[in-house]
Formats: sequence, structure tokens, C-alpha cells
Amino acid sequence: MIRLIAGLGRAVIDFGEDIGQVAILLFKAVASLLKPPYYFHMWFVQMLEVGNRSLPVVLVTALFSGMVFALQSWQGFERFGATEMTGTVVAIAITREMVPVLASLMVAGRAGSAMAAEIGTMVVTEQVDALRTMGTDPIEYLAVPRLIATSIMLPVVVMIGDMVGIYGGYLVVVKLMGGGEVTYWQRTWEFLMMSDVTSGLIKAAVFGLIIALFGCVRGFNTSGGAQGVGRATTGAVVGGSMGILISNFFLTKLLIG
Amino acid sequence: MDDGVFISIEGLHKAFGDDQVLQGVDLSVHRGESMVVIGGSGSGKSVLIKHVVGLLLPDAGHIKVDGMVVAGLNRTELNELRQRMGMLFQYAALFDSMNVGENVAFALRQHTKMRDAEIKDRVEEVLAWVGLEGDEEKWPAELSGGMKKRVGLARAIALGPEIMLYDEPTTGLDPILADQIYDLIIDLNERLHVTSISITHDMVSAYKIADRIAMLYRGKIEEIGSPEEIQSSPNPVIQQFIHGRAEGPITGR
Ligand SMILES: Nc1ncnc2c1ncn2[C@@H]1O[C@H](COP(=O)(O)OP(=O)(O)OP(=O)(O)O)[C@@H](O)[C@H]1O
Ligand SMILES: [Mg+2]
Repeated sequence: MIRLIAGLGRAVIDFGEDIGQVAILLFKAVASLLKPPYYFHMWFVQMLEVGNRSLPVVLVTALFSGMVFALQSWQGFERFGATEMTGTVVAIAITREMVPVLASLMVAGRAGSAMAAEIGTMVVTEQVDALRTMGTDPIEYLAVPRLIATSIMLPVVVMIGDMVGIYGGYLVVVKLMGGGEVTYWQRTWEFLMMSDVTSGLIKAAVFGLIIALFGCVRGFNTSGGAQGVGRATTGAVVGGSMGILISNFFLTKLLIG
Repeated sequence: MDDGVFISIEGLHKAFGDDQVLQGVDLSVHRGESMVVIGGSGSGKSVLIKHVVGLLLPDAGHIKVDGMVVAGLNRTELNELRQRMGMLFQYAALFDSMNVGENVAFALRQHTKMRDAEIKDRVEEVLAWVGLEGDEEKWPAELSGGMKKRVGLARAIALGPEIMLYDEPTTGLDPILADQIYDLIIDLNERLHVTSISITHDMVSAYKIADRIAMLYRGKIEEIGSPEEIQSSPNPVIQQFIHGRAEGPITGR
């Protein structure tokens, strides 16, 4: 029990330390975007990388979230005979909250950890020092492309995830529970607002940035060989996930306004 | 300022935690000179040259390169200065996401307007200098330690630097290859007037490539002089080190 509390305390302290460094990295990244050089090919490479790494996990997450949520809502609505509303609720929950948050948590585990591992390995093998000695700024060359890539690609995969999640709801409602197909789609489109989707996409962009920030910060701070790289990857996942969950509250507050 | 002091290290102190590694190093290297730094394992040789490229910042003292204080440069100035230097890392530090050709071409792509064909020619040329012609397509993970070292050397000289920093350029190479690398280092110094600092444990190579040799001992430069002066030095620390004896003041026996 004491070990558990100590571990929790440690995680909170680490997270607090990371926040400061995340802010510094963000500041440096923005500053370096104001003037050349721009490594566009690295941006592109990272976008493909993030897309490839996250699309499969996001699709599975979205499909099953949609299905489970539809199942739960159907059961709930059945109590007062409003099962035809299931489509609406699924669509709103999926686009506003479930896919952006769950998908981002999955991507923190996939892409955030990979970033920390890649950069961390480059640090401990002095490749980052080699970059510096050749007059190339590691922030511009390694961090900026990753920050850009996740901020752009997360909304893209979340958008696809939204569609898959709503389709998952359709599978459960229509194919499993025998609800009406026409009603499902009608109820979905009738009440789903553009702002539901866009607010989810804005969240996804911010979460993407957070994932890459923690991945890069933990990567650049790696010390002590292979073990250090292992610590960096776990740190990136924990930090990124906490960042997503906490910022989600403030973003939601902001976006609902 | 030809033949003037090109790199000057003054009163350099550096500690990592409680570990006082450098405790007042003074060293001047003249333009076109080949300086060799010798010293025991862990004496701080790598730490010393990392200060010259600004990878580490001094706790006290300063390093001037071509009249500029390295730690006082802004990011742009430092990057410009670094493009005039080449550094060979002790463990090569090749980019393992790039093949040999891309590693060597890296600085050329970043900092020159050379066309692809010109870059390809230059990469071929410097790889030939280190005896690795035609190995462009290999990946760092497929190379032996000595091959990595030579790719690292090719990468460091590709941009035609004025200053070269070699951290143990021939460790892990067979004697014949090592000799070719010494010839290359001498050639760069003599023909291209490159100023260099080389770190080595190997006294044969030190005598061969050095204009002057400096020994780092207990955080300071113990002695500095021409190869002949070092060889005939009465200092027992120097004598023990250059003859590789187990008994003497260094080991306290
Ligand atoms: N980044 C660092 N953090 C902490 N300590 C360091 C760091 N770099 C070097 N040191 C310490 O500084 C001392 C000198 O290291 P350095 O690598 O310069 O030795 P060296 O003279 O190059 O040895 P070798 O001949 O074995 O390469 C060592 O005790 C090392 O542990
Ligand atoms: Mg060393």
C-alpha cells in the first residue's frame, strides 16, 4: 500500500517536472517555426509514421467503443421506451468525447512511446550530439516534425474513427438489437451538429500535440543506456496520458463555453 | 592571424556532480597545427573536446575558437561555427536511420546548395579516402566497429572543415588501416591546413601525427611539447604513461 502511494506520488512529481519542460519545448518549437530551415520531408515522414502507427489501433478502439456504447444506451433507453434515440446519443458521444479521448490514449501508447524510444536511443548513442556538431538543431530536425505530424494526423484518424464508431453503433442497434435502419440514420443526422464533430477534432489536435511533446521531452531527457530508454518510453506514455485526461477537462469547458 | 592561436582553452573547469573531471585546463592550438591529447581512460579527454564544439558548457573558464567565445554564441552563430568543424565521435554516433551514403551526405544536404550528382561524387570521394568505396548502401547496423569509425570520419570531413576533432580515430582498426587513417589526418593537416585536436591512447600514432602532444592528468594539462620533448621528458608521470608501465606515480606503485 505504501509502495503504491509512493509510486503515485513519484508519478505526480515527474509529471509536474515534465510540464515545465513541455512548456519550454513548445516555446522553442514555435520560435523555430518562425524562420527557416524547415525540414518538410521530415514532417512528411513523421506524418506517415504517425498515421501508420495509429490508424489500426484507433479503428479497433472506435468500432468497439461505438458498439459498447450503443449496447449500453439501448438498454438504458429501453426502460422508458426511447430506444430510437440510441443513434443520436451514440453519434454525439462518439464524436465529442469517446473517439477523441480513447483514440488519443491509444496513440500515446503507440506513437508517443515510439518517439521517446527513437529520440532516447539517439541521445544515448550520441546521435543527437552528432546532429548538433553538424550545425543542425535537434529541436527543428527531430521535435518539430513530430509535433506537427501528431497535431495534423490525430484529427484525421479521429475523423475516420468517428465514422467507424457510428457504424459500430449501427451494427449493434440494427443488426443485433433489431432496431430500424432508417430510424438509426435519421436520428443520427437529425441531431448531430457540426460543432460536435469539430470540437472533437480540435481536441484531437491538442491531444496530438501533447502526445508528441511528452514523447520528445522524455526522449531528449534520456540518460543511462538501454534502461534509460525504457524509462523514457514509459514516462512518455504516462505523461502523455495524464496530459490528455487533464487537458480534456479544460478543453471541454472551453469548447462548450 | 595565420599561425596565430586558433583554438584557445583557458582555465576550463567541468564537474559532473561531485566528479571534478576538468580542473583548470589551459591549451592553445595554432592554425594548421595538429595537437594530440593523451591521457588515461576516464581522464576527461572526450569531455575536453566536447567543450570545443559547445556540446558541453564550462563550469568556469572559456573556449575561444577563431576569436569567438563558444559559450557566448547565439544559436545561429554557433551553428555557423559548427559547420566549420568536423567531429569524429569515439563511438562513431552514426545515424542508424540512414545508410552510409546518407550519413556522409548529411551535412552536405543540410548546409550546401550542391546538386544530388555533386553530393554523390563528394560522398564517393570521402568514402574512398577512408577505404570504404562502394559501401554507400550499407546500414550502420551491418558495419563492424572499425567500419563505423571510418564512416564517422568520412561524415566529419565531408563538408571540408577547417577544424577537425578526432576522438580516438583508430581504435578498433587493424594496424594497416590505422596507418592509412593517420596518413589521411596528416594529409588534411598539411594539404588543407586543417587545425586538429586528436585524442589517442596509442603513442605510435601520437608521435606520427602530432605537431605537439599534451597530456591530460588529474584534470589539468600535465605537460605539453613536441613528440621529441615528450619522449625525453624527465616527468615520471609522462614516462610511465608513454611506456605503459604498471608501476609509477599514476598508479601510485
Ligand atoms: N555526460 C556526462 N555525465 C556525467 N559524467 C560524465 C559525462 N561525460 C563524461 N562523464 C564523466 O567524466 C569522466 C571523463 O570522461 P571522458 O569520457 O572524457 O573520459 P576519456 O578521457 O575520454 O576516457 P576514454 O579514454 O575511456 O574514452 C568520466 O568519469 C565520466 O564518467
Ligand atoms: Mg573518451
